[in-house]
Amino acid sequence: MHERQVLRNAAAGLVAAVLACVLFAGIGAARAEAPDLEALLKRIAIKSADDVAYEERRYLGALTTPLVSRGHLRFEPPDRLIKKVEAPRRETAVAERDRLAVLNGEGVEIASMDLAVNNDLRLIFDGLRGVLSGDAAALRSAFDARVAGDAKEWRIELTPKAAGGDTRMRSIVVTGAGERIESFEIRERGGDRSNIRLLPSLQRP
Amino acid sequence: MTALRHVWRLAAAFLLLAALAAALFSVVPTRADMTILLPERGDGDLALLFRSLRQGPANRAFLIGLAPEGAAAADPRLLSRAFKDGLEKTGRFEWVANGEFRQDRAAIEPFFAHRYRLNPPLDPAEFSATGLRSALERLLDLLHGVAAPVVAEIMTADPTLRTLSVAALWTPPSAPARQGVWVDGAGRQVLLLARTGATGFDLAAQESAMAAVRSVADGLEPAFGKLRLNLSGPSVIAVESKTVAEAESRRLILISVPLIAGMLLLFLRRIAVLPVLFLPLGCGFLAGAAVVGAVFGYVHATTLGFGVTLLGVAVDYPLHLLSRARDAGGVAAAARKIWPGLLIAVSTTILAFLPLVMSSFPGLAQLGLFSVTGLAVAVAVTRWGLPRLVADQGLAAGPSPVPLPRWLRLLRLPALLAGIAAVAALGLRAESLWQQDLAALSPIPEAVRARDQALRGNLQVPDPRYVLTVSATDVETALRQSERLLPSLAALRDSKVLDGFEMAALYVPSHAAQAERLAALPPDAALRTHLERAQQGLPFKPGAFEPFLQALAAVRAGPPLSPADLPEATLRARLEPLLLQADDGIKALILLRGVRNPAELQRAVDETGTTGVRYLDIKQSAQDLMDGYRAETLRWVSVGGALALALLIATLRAARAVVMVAAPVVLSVLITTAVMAQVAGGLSIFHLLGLLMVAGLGIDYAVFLREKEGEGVRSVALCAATSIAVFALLATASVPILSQIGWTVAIGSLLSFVLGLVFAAPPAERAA
Repeated sequence: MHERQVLRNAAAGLVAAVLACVLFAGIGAARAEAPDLEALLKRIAIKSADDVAYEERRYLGALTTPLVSRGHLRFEPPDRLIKKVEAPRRETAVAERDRLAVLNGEGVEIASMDLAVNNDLRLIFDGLRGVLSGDAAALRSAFDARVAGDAKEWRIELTPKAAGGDTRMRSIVVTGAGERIESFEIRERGGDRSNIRLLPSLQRP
Repeated sequence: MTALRHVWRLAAAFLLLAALAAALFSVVPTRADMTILLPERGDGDLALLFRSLRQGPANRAFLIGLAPEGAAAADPRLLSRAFKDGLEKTGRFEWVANGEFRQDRAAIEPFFAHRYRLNPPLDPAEFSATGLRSALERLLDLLHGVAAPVVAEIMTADPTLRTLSVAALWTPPSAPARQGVWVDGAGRQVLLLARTGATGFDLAAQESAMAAVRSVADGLEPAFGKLRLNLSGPSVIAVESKTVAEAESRRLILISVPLIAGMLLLFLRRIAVLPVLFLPLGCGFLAGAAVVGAVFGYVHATTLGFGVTLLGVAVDYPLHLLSRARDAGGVAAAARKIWPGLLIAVSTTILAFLPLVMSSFPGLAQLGLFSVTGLAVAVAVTRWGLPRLVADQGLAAGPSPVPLPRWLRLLRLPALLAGIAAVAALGLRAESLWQQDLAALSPIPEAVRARDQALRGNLQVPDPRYVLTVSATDVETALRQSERLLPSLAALRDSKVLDGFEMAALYVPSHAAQAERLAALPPDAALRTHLERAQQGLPFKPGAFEPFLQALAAVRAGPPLSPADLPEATLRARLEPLLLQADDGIKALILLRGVRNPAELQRAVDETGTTGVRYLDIKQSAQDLMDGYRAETLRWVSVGGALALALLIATLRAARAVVMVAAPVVLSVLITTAVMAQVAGGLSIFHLLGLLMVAGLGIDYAVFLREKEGEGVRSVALCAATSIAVFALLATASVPILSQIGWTVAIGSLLSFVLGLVFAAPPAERAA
């Protein structure tokens, strides 16, 4: 091998290493500073009706194993959220404003709940809808919101503000990368939790 | 000077009358509820039932339908919910239901708390190892679905999810629900039920609640387009009947007052005289109300309404007086002159009405007392009061006597034949002489009733016709007795003999049943073993269902549950109309819906051998009541007629004179009866009231037409013309009661006048 060639390669490597150092230092600085809620929500908010597949794992204290179910989540801005369970049973929940309706596998409504009088359900749906619609003010009115991570991999922890004695929910944790929401986790006081992982779909990069 | 003094006196008399009226009605309460069909003595069960149906919580229910008018029908669910929310926000309703089955925590809390004591019955099989196994498998399945949060919250204490089946039993009877809300058969109109907080009697509060419903519906129009509101329910009907009656009265007064005043002016030619005509009537009205108030403690609105009709003849008395005053040489002289005729006419009428006082129908008894008192006072005021109040000066010239033409006599035979024909016609339809349809008697306009029926049908709200009453000393016994009937009724429902039934024992079991059911469950230790076996191979942690075992042990050790112990007022309110407090204990009502075979039902109930149970066909009972009252009315009226005739015989002494007075009265009553029976398809109690008035008028006409030289003809003609005009107007009313009375009296007074002429002519042959 030619000596000059080796040297040139070494110099290139050095430059690359320095460049890499500089670059990574920059990234490190960004990681140390968490994005603010408003800006993050603006990026991840869903502007038009959208569908995404999910997989839910429910961890219950009374159970030895998590329960796994699959289906689709659909959000229609500003406040309609549909959770369609497809396996192992078929069922749909439609949250719209203050109502939660439950439809059986044939699409016939079998129950409805008033979210205004059901604190836990209201917190869950308000939290999810607040994130999906990018409404920071609504989220802040009901929750203490903490953002962690960086623009590439972030995490929002929502803790109910007025967690009265009858509230079972402890927090909602939303994680994501860039503009994509990856999961919701609903944590209860007793230790039960439910993790909903959104699966990458064809429609959304 | 004297004229002025008389004016002052007259004004003072009216002021006094007004003051007395104000004082009287501030002391004596008037009642406006339609208790006219209510028995005072007699069937206790039926009376209690009528009272509870009318005053009870059922009476405060609003049946509401709301339909979009536009072509693009909105989602019925959204419309129904928006409407329900709006109604709840008015704060006027204890509860509003739109058919949605709520499962939120607040809604299911009371059912969770009492899940092992409330119905449906506990099934021991559910608590066996296999029963629990399938319950746990069901839990796992549900935990995968959207109900998981609710299920997870209660499952460790209630693995069989009994809370939800208890809650399901309390959901209101299901109308066809589409997308979870009640809709009508066509699926366009959303249906709701609401109950006001105010009592059914408080018509003002009910009226403002109705206005609130309307404004909520109006408020939805921007979002849902043009909407048509259908509102019904007992209190709504009461308010509407009142509104219709008031509107009708206003219309009738607006037309009839100028009409009558015009007719009288034409004849009497002095405006100042007009108030005088109403003084005897006013005094009579007031005296009648005062005496009725003193005797009964209250005055019924119908007494005042119908009473003033029967008193209407009292307007004729001052007419007779004033039309003679000038020729007789003064009002006082005229009063003396007409007194013999007036005395015969009024005492005959009073005697005819007097027996009504004996009626056990409080409405009729009040009416009898009111009219008798009123007539006596009115005639006394005419005879002794008016001569002191009316100046002699400036009176119109009296009517010139009208000699009755002889040829009128020729009409006597046809009149008699018409009477015979009337009797024959009545005889032919003796079977169907009386209207059998009680609804036809109802004061409610046809359209309102049809709307109510449609809403009831759509909402499947029982319009109870068949009812079982269970009499018992206390609630526990009543529930036990009801429980004995329950299996038979359920079997009848399954075999389509009836559509459904409602009873307190359907919701809350007796203490005995609660204890029996809990005792039939596996004991605590066995239950624990069953649960352990059921859990094998399933991902539930050992001991996960400890709260369930503890809850059941606590229930078994705890006190029984009574209807009064229910924590939610809305749940207790469901049971209140079904458990009535009677003087001698408790009456439990079992409301039956859609009974197809009453005989089979009754047989099945008898076979259970339950004591204290009575089967009531409300419609039939009401019909029987009505028939009884009518028979009684007819009996007392016949007695009255006989008394009146006896009086005529005693005063007139001559057979011929008696016949000449009595014949036109009897004939016009008979012919009017036949005509009304034919035209109206049967007679009602209100036709009967009208006929009483016809008799009263007829006697008055017959007596005064008999006067020498036809002196009375013109004043009687005026009396008849005003009566016919007023009652013909009444006949155009849309309220059935008013139009029935109107037609009867208009036809009757015309006949009375014509026949009076026929039998009074000719003067040449009349005995002096």
